[in-house]
Amino acid sequence: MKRYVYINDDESSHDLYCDNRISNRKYTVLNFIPKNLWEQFSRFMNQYFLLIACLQLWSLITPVNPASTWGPLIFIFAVSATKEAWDDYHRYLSDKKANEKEVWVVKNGIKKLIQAQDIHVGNIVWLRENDEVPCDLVLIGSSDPQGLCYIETAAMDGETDLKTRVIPSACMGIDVELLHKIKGVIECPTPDKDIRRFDANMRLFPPFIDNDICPLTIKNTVLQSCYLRNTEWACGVAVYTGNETKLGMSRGIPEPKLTAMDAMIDKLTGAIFVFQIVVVMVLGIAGNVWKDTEAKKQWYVLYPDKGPWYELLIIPLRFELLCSIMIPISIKVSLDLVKGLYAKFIDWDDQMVDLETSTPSNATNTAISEDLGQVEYILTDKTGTLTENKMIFRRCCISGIFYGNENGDALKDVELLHAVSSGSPDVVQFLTIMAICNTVIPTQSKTGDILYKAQSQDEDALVQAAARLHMVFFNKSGNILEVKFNNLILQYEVLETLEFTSDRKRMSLVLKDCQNGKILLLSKGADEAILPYARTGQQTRNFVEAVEQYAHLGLRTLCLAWRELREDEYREWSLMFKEANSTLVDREWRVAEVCQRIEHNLEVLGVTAIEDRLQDGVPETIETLRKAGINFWMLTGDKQNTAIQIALSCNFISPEPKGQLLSIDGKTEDEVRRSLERVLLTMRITTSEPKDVAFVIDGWALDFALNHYRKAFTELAILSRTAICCRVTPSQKAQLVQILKSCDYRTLAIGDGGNDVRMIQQADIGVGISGREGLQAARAADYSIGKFRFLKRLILVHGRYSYNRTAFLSQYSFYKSLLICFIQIFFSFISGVSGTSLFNSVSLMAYNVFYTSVPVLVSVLDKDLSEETVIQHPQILFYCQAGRLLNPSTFAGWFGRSLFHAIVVFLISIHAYAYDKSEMEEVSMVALSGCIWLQAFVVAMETNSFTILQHLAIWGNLAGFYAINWIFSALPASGMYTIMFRLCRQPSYWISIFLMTAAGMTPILAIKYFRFTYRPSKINTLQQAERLGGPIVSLGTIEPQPRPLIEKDVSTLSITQPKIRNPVYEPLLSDSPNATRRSAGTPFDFFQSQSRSSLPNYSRNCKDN
Amino acid sequence: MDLDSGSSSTVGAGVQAIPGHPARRGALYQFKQQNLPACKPVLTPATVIATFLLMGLIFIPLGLVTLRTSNSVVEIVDRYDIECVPEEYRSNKLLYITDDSISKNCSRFLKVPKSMRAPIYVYYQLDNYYQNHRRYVKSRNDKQLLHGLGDNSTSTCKPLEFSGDLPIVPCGLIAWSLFNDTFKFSSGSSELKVNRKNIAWKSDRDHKFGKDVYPFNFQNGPLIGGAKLDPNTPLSDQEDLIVWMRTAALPSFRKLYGRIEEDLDADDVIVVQLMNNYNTYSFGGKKKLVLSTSSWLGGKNDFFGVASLFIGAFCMLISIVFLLLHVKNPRPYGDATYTSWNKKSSSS
Repeated sequence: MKRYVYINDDESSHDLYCDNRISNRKYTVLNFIPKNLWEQFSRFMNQYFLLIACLQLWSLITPVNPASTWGPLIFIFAVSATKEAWDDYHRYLSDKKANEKEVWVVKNGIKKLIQAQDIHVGNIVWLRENDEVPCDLVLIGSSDPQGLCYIETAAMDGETDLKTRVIPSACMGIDVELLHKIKGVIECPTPDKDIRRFDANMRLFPPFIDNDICPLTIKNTVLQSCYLRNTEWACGVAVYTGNETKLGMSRGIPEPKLTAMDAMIDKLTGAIFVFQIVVVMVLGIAGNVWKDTEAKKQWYVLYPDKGPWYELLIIPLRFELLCSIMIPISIKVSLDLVKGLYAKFIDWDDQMVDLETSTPSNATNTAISEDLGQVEYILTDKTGTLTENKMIFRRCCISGIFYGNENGDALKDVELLHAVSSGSPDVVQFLTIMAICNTVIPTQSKTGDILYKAQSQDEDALVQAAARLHMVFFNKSGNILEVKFNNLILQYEVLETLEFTSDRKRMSLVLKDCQNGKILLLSKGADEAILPYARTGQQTRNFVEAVEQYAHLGLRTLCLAWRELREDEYREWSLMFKEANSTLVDREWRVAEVCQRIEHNLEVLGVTAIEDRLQDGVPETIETLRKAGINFWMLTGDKQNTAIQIALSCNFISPEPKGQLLSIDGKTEDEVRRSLERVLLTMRITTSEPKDVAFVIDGWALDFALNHYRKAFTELAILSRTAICCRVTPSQKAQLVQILKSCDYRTLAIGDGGNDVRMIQQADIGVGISGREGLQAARAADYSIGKFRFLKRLILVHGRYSYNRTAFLSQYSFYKSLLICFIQIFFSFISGVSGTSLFNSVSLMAYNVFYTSVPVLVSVLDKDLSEETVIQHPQILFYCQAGRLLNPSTFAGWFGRSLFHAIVVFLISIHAYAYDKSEMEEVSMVALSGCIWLQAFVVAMETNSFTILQHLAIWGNLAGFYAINWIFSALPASGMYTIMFRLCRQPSYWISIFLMTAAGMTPILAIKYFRFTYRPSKINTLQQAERLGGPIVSLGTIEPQPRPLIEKDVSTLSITQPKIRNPVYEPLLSDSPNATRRSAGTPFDFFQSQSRSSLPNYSRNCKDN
Repeated sequence: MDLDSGSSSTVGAGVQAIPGHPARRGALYQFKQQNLPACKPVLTPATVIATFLLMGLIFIPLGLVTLRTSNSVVEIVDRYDIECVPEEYRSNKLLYITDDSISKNCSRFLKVPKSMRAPIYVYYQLDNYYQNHRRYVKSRNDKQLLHGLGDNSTSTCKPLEFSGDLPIVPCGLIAWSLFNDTFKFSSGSSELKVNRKNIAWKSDRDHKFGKDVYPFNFQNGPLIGGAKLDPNTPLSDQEDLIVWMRTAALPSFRKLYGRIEEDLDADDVIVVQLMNNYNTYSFGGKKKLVLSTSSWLGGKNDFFGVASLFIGAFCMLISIVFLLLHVKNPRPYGDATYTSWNKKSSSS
């Protein structure tokens, strides 16, 4: 599908495409209530609660006042609706601001000021310096005589450097006045969200130039939300407007992420729901039987002989309502609340503030903190994530001579300085390429210093270094580049730019040396993209060695090469290039092919080596997190050797005696397959050894592996704790995340650049480093941190605490709901199975809303272990990863506890308040008091560290319970008038409470103490050590082998098969991670005999080092 | 691994000073950094064993005291519902109770086992009587009881809102089924006076039952339930009704009938003249007459004592078990060497 945009033609396209009204709103005033309600009710839990609330309106079956359900329900709905409305109102305001902004548009040949929302496709829009672009435009004019203009795209991709845009050749040189009258047609694709592609054509109608079709690329466009900079004015034709712009299309609400914990809670809720249905059915049947046999004889109940047709349903429905509190309505609100607080704690954390830039950490997604504690795989980018992304030119090799080897800084190498000053032709050429073969824009500041605006840090480093070596690139005006070399000004005219793509891995310039008119091709790129195209006869051995040597030092290398083009060769090629550039289909591929035709026979000049320093604390962070049982994968666009060196220097992989690196390579499908199988075999037999086995794969082989041997690769992925993937594309990064996710591993992706965005969005948790490559990754991410080392704290402290706290909070919520529900069920057995509620409406409502929800909320402050202990013993994270604190088995414990407590409370209240004291309201309050006391003690016992707030909440809540009930007891109109005063005067009440508390808590205390002392979990051991100051014997080096699958037959694994996990993790009793995660051993020597030269392993790399 | 600083229980790691941030200290800051001073209790053997011991030491005496108190209460319980049915109707009690023409008079002789000090509470006890049945417990209208017919919302009184076309005051099943056995006591020749005043809660009389609400159209329908009410006495003075309408939570309950305000000596014989009107025969309920003294714990109830003794004994037992375990198998705290986690540490 294509769209045809008629320039400056108001009529023909007026109605065809939408106007420029931007709308990000989800709701309008009219549809807010129905739409919002509909959205909320599409959740199962809400439907369930609504059904319950509706049933309660039927007074025949409702056990309590319907307000006890409607109140909380309306409250919960109001809260989330208000939040939505608030967000939407802000979206509306910002839309309105954008829509009503005034812009200059040509209407009927006259420039007019109109509101941005009235722009239509085909209109000519005029922009002045620092204006925001209102819609996607194709440039047709600019104040710059060369037709250039500069834009800032920070709002779109987060990159703060200026980008150049150029008007299409067809519009070049049209007079400003004539631009008002320009007519023509632009043929462009239907709107899409790719902000890097715009494959279109333009044809101007006479009298403007001939009928030639002029190709358009993204370089000829300015997109919505960019800013025009350093350009007096520019004008363009609106091609996409409103929500159809590239930005508008790429907008979209990302799918909400669900944590493993939420899934588990949902599962448990489902189980409780089933349990509830069973209870209701049993009690319903029992109730009907009792009614028919007993109640008919009870004359005082006055059962009619013949009931209505629905008579059989009444009792089951009553029980359904009575049991509906089993599923706590407050759990959602409580969880949202504490999750918000977890996120705030991350935002507030002073120890995660990047001191250099004063950027605090930020949790964009407030809902997934618990997942941080359950991470099993971290997929990390290299550049800018592990490293600083502060590129410094360190060494170079020009024509076989190494510079900078002695002192590690080529700029201070006397020999190089000498070579420069003596004007050695190779060196000068080398510097020229360093200085101009790039897309850097030099700008002169007021003080006369030259500042460079570079899109890539590498180019920046090269230009800076060239400038330090007296080759100063100081001006770029249009196609003319000006370079100052030793006070000599050299001018070059750029003829073509062969841009860098990740596939080509090189960029070239075709330019004309204005001094002598020669046409030159300058190239720079990765070694494998340059060296194979060297001039026949040139020895590239030197360069290969240099590249290898530099790579082993962890330096990034680029090869520089050039050649002179003959005039006719250039002409011929130039035509092809133009044609390729104007194709609409597969343009990128065609262009690459054409570029290939000229980039050969190169004279390789040398190799540059750029250092990218590791960030502070990276090795320690990786070591700590690996001890915590987290597996690391490094996904980088860099080359294999560099990646391996960085990996070695940051503890990613261990050097030879301990570690082993297996390489998967191959140029053809078959080779890759064999290599993959070999590595897999090795992996399988070495998993039992205390050795760090890692595999390394490059993008090429990965492509085959992902497309043809996905199953084998998945198996490998599961077996391998460490992997290095080099030369991978953004989509491959995302695919790797997908593979790990498909095996049911919790993945965390961390990166800093635009190429990591897909991986970050794909992973369970995306972490962005707010670094130098712009904010793109940080914006897409769930969490953004300033430095890689904060990851340690994010996972071990925040993730772990969040997991522990939510585990307690969710199970406790079920515990307290079940407790009161069990009492109701027991009571129904002594009330003729008729569905009487023991508790009155006020108590039932307040129980969930006030009495029990406040104390548990302060569990967000609970710390089972101090932060220092956790950081020192990261292995403890295993409890979270394996879900030891929230699983069906721990839940069963809480279920049992609530059953036990219900029995205790019920038996004691009916026996203590028997006969003459068996007044309904009194018994009800005794039982309720028992529940409140017990739950206060349960919270107290499960709290590991009491701050003042915990004391306030737990004991204050208990006092609050009495205060609330005294107030109700003082109101003559209330059903419980005087009851609480009466009870509090009775010694038997206090003795009953004392008995209930003691009977309920002593067994729990005894069990807890027994486990704590005689069957301690690692957490308990550390608690003892931490609090009693005992000797901390090293919890040691658990050999991290979390490979639960190995014990199973690995070959049966298929991609879709999720990770097999024992649902019951033997919590609290058997805590050896190794016991469940270890695999069967195989002799160690086996691999050594298998080792062949085709498996390049570390020994080779290390020897070379 | 670094071993040196694991034992610090103080919170608050070195927070780096960050320029441009005010308020490094203060409770709010500590809260934000999750660094509020906290006390971290730990279950040491000493504290746990001592806690259990203490619990035992509290509960066993408490049990003894409450048991003694309960034993000091003298209670006479007499089940009369069977005995009061004349021999000829024993096989068909229902006929006996539903036939108005048969005299319901009955005499019981109660022997006082121990001397009983005034006040002696007179209760009637019903067993297997579900005052807490949902249909029953809801069938009342508190507004009507307080304000009378002015509030003519009798809907909650189903199924007994109207008799004929007129509303009933007090409406509902509870009032309708009011207990109507009566008791007269005499000891030797003299009549024992039973004080029937102030048997209901004062708060109910003052605030729940209206002073100017009179029974209306009560027990006038074809179905006669229990007692009739004097239409000239306001509801706030109908104490039997007020007591009855405090529904019981258990199927077996006692309701206060009155107080005997003189002491009874041991081996006295009390003659009870009762009218056995109330029908419990149709559903197999039991009727009992209870005379009981009172203590600070209320009536006779061994439950407190037994439960306290049981819990006390349990705590003692646990404390002894834990003590033995601790002596036999002392565990150095913080020693992680015995855990499986560490078994492999020798290899590194």
